[in-house]
Amino acid sequence: MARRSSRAAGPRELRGSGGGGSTAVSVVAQSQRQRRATAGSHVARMRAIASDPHLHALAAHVSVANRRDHRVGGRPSAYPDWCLLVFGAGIRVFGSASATARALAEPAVWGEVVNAAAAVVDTQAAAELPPVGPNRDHWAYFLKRRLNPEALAELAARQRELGVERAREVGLLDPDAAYSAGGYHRDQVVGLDGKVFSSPLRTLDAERVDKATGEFRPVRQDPARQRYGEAGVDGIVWGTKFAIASVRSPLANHRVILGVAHFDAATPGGEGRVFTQLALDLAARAPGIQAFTADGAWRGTHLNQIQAATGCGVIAPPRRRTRRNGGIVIGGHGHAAQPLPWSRRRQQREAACGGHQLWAAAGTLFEQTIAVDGEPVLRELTRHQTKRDTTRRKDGSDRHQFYARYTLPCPGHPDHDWWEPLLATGDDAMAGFNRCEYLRVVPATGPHHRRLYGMRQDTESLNAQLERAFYGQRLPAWGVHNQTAVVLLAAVAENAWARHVWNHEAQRQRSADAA
Amino acid sequence: VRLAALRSAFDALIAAEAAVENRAANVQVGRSPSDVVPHPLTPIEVERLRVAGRLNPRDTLRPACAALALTGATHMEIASTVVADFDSAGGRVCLGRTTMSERVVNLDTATSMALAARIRFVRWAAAAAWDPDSAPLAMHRPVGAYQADSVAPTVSMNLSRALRRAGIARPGVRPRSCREYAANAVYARTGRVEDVAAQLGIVSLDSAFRLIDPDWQRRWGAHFGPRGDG
Repeated sequence: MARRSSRAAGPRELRGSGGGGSTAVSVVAQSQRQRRATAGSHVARMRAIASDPHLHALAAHVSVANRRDHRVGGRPSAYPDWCLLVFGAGIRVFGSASATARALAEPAVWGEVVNAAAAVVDTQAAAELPPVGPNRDHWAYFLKRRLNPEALAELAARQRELGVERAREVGLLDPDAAYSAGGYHRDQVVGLDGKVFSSPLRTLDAERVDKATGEFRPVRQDPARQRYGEAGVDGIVWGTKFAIASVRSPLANHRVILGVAHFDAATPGGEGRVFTQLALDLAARAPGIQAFTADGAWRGTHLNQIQAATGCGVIAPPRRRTRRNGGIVIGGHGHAAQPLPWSRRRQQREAACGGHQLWAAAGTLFEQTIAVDGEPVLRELTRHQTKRDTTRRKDGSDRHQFYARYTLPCPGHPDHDWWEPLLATGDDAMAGFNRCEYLRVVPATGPHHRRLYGMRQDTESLNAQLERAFYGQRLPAWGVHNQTAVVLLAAVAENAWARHVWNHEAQRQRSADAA
Repeated sequence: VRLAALRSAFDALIAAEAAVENRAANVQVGRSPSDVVPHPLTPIEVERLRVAGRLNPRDTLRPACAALALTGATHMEIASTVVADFDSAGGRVCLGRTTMSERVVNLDTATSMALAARIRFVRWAAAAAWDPDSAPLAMHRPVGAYQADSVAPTVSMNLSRALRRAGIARPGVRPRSCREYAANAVYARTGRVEDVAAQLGIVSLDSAFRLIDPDWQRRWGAHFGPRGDG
């Protein structure tokens, strides 16, 4: 497939593939006013949610999962499933189920929702809806009966599928965009991060005294609540944890959540394995993903697994170690170092000169020499290029390997010039060398790392948005099932708003071009 | 029954006044030649061991251990060498100070630098407790602090790790290969087994000669200059 050049003059252009045609939006610098304008209002967000075809696709999924024999009887539903999904996504907008119910009880707000949905659902069906929206009882029944655990699991899988589709629709994860290994674009790097949402339960007490009667009364417990350490927070956080994968462009509020997965302290493999499974799943769905970025949850084993299986680079912080404990200090930070093992090729390469002491640290290679005063001197080797090779296996699957070209000056001999593998090789296991832990596609000392790892830091803004969206910065749901449903629908709400922002920006740029 | 055990038994009997003289003292046992085949390191491997035998960038223990082994020190001598045994100005080290095979060995520049770097680290680590007469040169603790049967394995492990890190994994190569290299290097320089015995602290010339590898001499002997030039 021909790939478009990324060296065209002017601002980078994103091409969306949805809506039966392609839309192009230039990534232009936005003014502060323009960026703030993309935040929208509550009503605008509800309109975007109700008019999102993906929400209705999910609703159809719920309806199919709950289809039952007509002869069983029972009262007909007061609202179709899409209304309850709009309600659930509205919790992201209004902050709680209670606030959502109050807002949708307003005929004006509900009318806006129904009018927006009329573009997607049958107009006749929309006209037959009650004059006000669902209330908390409808929502509680929906969570308990309609959205059973099996339906929720299917919904989560379908949401990933739709998330990838939405990303393509709004110009992200373009599979035809050209790139070089290590020179990834922001709109094609998926950020993964774990987010601990605070539990709605604010106390550790199991009982509470009724001040009027002196009676001990049990406090409602949140079965999903666990203790987690959280970066940037003193002490610990009591809450429930989700892995969230997202991709965005430099445009404000132009972000798509690709997948959500709940996990807890008992999940085998912990955060690292959950992120890995999510990344592998997404890479299989979206060929436009160029790279993943995550925090220190991913160690060498995870990095090797993801990069070898998907061919996507991973940008993660290098392993740290103090100088006192044997680390190499680079830029004021100590990095863990391991000697580069002696492969057969290296033995041959350095046979004539006797060999060099090479250390793998901070994602790249360093040579250690001894100065005349006996002090060790470390010098970073020049890395010229990074490339990716793909090998087709007998079973039809692909295995990828990354290589970096290094040059090592050798006094009295010709310079050594070679391609160093960046993913695990056969010799590494024998030497006990965890290659991906110490060598990276994007080394921490290189010019790209700061820019690319900033994309991981950018996921924190999504975490903050989601956290602040909920009342009291606490997840307004009890138990894993309900909390997963609320977070999943919050992702649907985010993706619906990304579609709105994309369409709005495309229209604005078209108008500006026409003028 | 080992002769040493027999002699010890007699000593115990004498101490208990059950015997008057040690009848095993003059007993000689016909020795069978050792079937150990020497596998000395090659000069290229030695160079690599010096350059790339560290476990971490600040590692001074393994280079010091390897440096002493390459001068021909035994495991026990490596373990018992202290800072005061090293004469940095003269480029010499005294090996086997408390044994019958006490000797002074001249060092090359690379070895002196490795030992000097180790001493700098040991001095920094010891701080106020610095005592050159007890601070070990190539061990973490003074040799007396180790159990008697763990000294040799500790030295052996340090050398094995250094060899592994330097990518030296030829069949037959083991920590003892460093000492065998020292023997062959001396023999290549001087062509005299007596010099080999003197450098390595070996009493028996036959034992010293058994460390010489003819194949090694044929391949690498020329690297050490014509025989007799010292």
